[in-house]
Amino acid sequence: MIPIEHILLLSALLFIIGVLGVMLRRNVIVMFMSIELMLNAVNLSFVTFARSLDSMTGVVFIFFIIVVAAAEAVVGLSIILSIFRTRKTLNIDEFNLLKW
Amino acid sequence: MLNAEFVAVIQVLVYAGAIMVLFLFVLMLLSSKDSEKYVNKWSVGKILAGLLSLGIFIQIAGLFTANELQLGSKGEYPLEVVEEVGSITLIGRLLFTDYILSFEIIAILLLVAVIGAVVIAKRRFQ
Repeated sequence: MIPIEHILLLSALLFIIGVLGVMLRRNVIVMFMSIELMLNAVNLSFVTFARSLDSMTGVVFIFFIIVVAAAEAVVGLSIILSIFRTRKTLNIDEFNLLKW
Repeated sequence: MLNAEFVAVIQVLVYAGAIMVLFLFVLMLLSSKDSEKYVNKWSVGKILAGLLSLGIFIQIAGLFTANELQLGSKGEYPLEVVEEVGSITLIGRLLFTDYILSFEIIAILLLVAVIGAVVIAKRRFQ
């Protein structure tokens, strides 16, 4: 039996890795993967709390989060694709279409 | 263990089966050859980002490992019930009774996402 603190710490660590990825990397695909990593870290805490509280609501929530993450991945990647067609780069600093 | 077989299976199915394949397809379509230019110089912003993440991590870890972590009252699905009925059965029952409205809304959201992706990614001919 793994104590829930360890799983929660792993979840916090995964979330911070995702935050660092979004803040430090400039490649938009890697930033996108980091966002997915943050969503999954939250899923891990949800399942841990659901088990330790004898509840099923957390697991139902994970279902919804995964569906929203899939929808977000589909839309986000298609946006990246259509920006790449005009800008020919994946660097997030070049994506200033809304700036002027 | 966490007794969450449904989550394990759905995680592998959706992430390894769907999202990773989607990422691979997009990486195949995008041929970016200037990826070495993305390597940033060491800057104040990076140090700030590191400090900020460290602060957030300390906050979250302190919250999670606090001795007075208030977990609230127990729910109605203890380990024995989950092992007897099965977690997938319980999730299915909840999804189609208590959370039926959310379930229908999420179905519409998926449909909107698919249509949106097709519209956004469609190649425009002038």
